[in-house]
Amino acid sequence: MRRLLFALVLLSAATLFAADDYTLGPDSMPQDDVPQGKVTGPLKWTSKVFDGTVRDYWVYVPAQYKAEQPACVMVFQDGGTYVNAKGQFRVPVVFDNLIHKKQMPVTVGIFISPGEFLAEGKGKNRSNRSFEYDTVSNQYASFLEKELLPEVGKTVKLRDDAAGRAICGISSGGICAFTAAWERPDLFSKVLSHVGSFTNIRGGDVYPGLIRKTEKKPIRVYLQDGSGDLDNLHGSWPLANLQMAASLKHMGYDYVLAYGDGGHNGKHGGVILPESLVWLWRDVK
Amino acid sequence: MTRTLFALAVLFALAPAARAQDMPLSQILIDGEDWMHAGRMVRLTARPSVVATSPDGSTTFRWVSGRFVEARQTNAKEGVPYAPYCPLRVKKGEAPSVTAKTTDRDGRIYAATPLGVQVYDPTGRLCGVVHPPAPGKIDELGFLGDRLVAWNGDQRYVRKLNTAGVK
Repeated sequence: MRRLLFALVLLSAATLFAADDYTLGPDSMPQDDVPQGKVTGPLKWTSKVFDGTVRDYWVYVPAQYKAEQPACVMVFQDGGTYVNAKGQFRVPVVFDNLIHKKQMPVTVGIFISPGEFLAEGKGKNRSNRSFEYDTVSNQYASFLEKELLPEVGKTVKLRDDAAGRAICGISSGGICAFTAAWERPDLFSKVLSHVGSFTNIRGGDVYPGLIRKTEKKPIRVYLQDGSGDLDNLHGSWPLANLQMAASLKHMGYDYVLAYGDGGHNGKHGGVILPESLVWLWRDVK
Repeated sequence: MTRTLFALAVLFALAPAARAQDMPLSQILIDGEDWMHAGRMVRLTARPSVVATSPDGSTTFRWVSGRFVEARQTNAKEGVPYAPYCPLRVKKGEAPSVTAKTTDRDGRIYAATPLGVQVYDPTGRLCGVVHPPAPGKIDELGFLGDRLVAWNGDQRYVRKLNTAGVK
């Protein structure tokens, strides 16, 4: 009986810990001979498009940036997660390494937190994340076009063509990235989605069908998900991402689905971030 | 033996924490419980206003028209508009309509509509729709302890839930 119980414990532990055992590679680590870009922030932004919200944002400018040459742009939702040099993604470190090796173009990173309505007295701030990220509309793209991109453009020269712009997010941030490019392919041509929430949180499960019945758009999509991702009242994330991939394939899109065994986190996406970026930016020098 | 059981207990306790926080209807609905007709009752208080607030009072929810229950910080400065928050599920061919609202102690928002009582989590995502107690419009909604109370004219209906109203 004791041995059986012990075996059960080991089995449970194995199930819990075998998935998500991804390990960061050298492109996610600072390298001595690689010049480092500069991260400014957090800065504060009060929005009119999402009227009443305030949010933090950060800007990464690579060491190779030159004012006379507009830089490519990559926007990240849940910016604090991606900009953290010791987090699961470590985007500034990865950008430093890949740009130095010329495996991606000189790219400015804009890391944006979701908006919040301030408490104005007692109680907590109210997060506007789900509304901003999960809603299938052009509002978030409008917010970027009218507010954040021009604001960052005041101090850094940015490319204004879709070929030079990418957008990335995790979970609801992932579907947000896809929505922005889907609604405004003239603004963003490259999408990177980590455990994207293509489920029925706010109607996002419409995409697989919509993709199949819409003329192909000029966007490139990198999806990452895992078999251990969420399955709940909003839908099944693994199935939703598989559906997205099947629809993109059916319509002849330039896409990748990196499908692992991880759960609803950034471990797998973080480890493959360098190769994702190289794939996404491969046609831009 | 004790150490083994403890290890098991820790593992199983940790497992739910590894999942994202979601609020399916099954969290509040109780097997075997349904709406109960509590008879005719004269309401002693005037009809409530069409707003409800979060448990800590910091957010006010309202519906005036359109496809969203809207939200605004309760102490927001003059002129700050309400923002769309909870997307309403609407019957095809019909206009959106919310006839009553309430909130529970866990921050869920309840909106009485022609489809039933639409329940939202504190971030404004639809958890699900609870079927209405009877044909006709619910024109008041509230909690009496752990019982959701719905008024349809002078008829009162009560349903026990796995939550409670805001104290």
